[in-house]
Amino acid sequence: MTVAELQAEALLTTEEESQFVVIWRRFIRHRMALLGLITISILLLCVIIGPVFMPYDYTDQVKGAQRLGPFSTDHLGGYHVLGTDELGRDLLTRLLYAGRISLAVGFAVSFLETILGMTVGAVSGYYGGWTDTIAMRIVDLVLTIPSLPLLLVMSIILRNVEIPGIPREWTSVVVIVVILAGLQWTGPARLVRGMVLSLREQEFAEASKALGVSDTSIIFRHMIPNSMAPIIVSSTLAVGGAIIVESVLSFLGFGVQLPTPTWGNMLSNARTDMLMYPLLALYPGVLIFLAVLSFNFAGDGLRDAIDPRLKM
Amino acid sequence: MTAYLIRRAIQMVFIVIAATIIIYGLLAFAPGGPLSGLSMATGNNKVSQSDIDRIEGLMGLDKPWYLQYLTWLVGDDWMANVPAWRDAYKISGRKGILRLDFGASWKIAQQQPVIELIAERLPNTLYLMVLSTILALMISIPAGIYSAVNQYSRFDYALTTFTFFGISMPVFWFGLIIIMIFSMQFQKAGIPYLPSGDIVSIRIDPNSVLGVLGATPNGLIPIITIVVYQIPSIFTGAIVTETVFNYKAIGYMYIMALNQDDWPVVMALLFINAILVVAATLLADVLYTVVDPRIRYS
Repeated sequence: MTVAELQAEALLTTEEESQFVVIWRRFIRHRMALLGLITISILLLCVIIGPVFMPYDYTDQVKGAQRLGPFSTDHLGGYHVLGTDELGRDLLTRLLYAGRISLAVGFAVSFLETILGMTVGAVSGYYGGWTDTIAMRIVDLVLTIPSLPLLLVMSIILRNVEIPGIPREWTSVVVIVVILAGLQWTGPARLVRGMVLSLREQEFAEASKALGVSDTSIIFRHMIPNSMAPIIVSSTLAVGGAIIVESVLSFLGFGVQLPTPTWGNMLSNARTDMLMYPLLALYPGVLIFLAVLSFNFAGDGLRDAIDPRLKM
Repeated sequence: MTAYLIRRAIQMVFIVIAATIIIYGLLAFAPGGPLSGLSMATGNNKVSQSDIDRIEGLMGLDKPWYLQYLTWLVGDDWMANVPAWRDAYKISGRKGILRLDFGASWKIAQQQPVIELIAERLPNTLYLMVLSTILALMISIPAGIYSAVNQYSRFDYALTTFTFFGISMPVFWFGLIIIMIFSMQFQKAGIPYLPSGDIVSIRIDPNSVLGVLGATPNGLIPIITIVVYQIPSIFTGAIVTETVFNYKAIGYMYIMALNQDDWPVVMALLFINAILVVAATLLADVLYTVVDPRIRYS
């Protein structure tokens, strides 16, 4: 290899790497976004491995030790850092388990709606014509149906559904994830359709077609990877959105059903004697707020980092 | 423009009908249903099967779901002309929602016409929504304009950050905190609700603010979007706030009706809401062309 070739290769490889480095550098310059990312990481770490270290299960009740304050020891000698709830269950343990469910719902909804929206958007943008018209009218219909009332109707309808192979206490979680994703895939669908509409007119798409590459292959190997940047941003923001909507539904009593705890239904539960025991309502609320805020800041920072000109 | 309006109006009718068919179908196929409480009571011999059949007939639930839906939409007086239907089902003589017969409540206020229930609660809802929207705009428009004129200033950053806090805060939690702080003193007065996303959208970019100052009202577009899309929420937007504050208006009634399978009330509210949503979308699109003549629809 000549020196020139080596240099050229070195340039090419650094170019390849620096893509991520540049994005990372721009991302960490956004202080709130970095803070958000750190908070998300800590929260995830806590809810995933935290319950392992807790001496209690989220259903364990200590009789006669209801609503203990923070840093208290019950009469059996059990220590409760954040105290206990109205049934004598350890609050920190429940918050950690609830966090697992709430964050899992957030990620699952974001993942599902992105996959669904991406596929519909890419296919409809790529083929155009009738496919596009029908897909976009469906999007319009879904957008027109008022979302909160519909969410409530759907969750009350599906509340008693039994899904084979899924434990009873998990059905409401699955139902909520499916409903939320089923109503929110329209955002990513429009986003990807817009990207694909412009991408398919570019030379490389034409070249791929001329080379006999199949449509599926063009869509999944070229169109979707090329519209990845805005998709990553929108799915990050979607996690926060899903967490907040789940908490609203659970708060109204239409979300994930007890005994499976989520931050939303813990908050709803704490409402009855909130004036006497404000801390019970404070903890889950702070966690919801912190999680959603972190995802929003991280999403915003990611948007600035990936493409400063990007507007959504 | 006329052709466009006609096309949009036709589309609107289809969308509203499609939405109500979907929701009615879902309600009808849901496990449980309005009579599940009665069916359970038969085990104790308190309610006989013939009683249930009679009540089913009264509620119109003896019909298959598509005829129930048609009854709800256009009434069932005309069904008496179809011999097969006349013999099989009880004809209630209802006129249907398209002929302004909203039906009567099943559970939350027995036999009271739905239209009366809505009329009773509408003033409370209007009071809450109008007041809170005006308050939100009064805060957010000046804040947004100031922040846009002084872009990258400390105020701009503070406002942007505050906006993020606003969108990330669950409305109901915010409400609960307010209740805690004021120990329910304001509960009866009905705390106005601040639609938490508003300030974001009104943070207009500097060019359009200069536009406003220069008397070309481009900056009005986001404001139109917010105010017009606020209209449908007259019916449902304050569901959460009303529940938090036990404020007896339409959103609260909707939750009660849903919890008790009171379909006539649920369907009437959803129907009105769907109409308001499509009408607001159209209104916003038309207002855009008024404000900015460059926007054209073909």
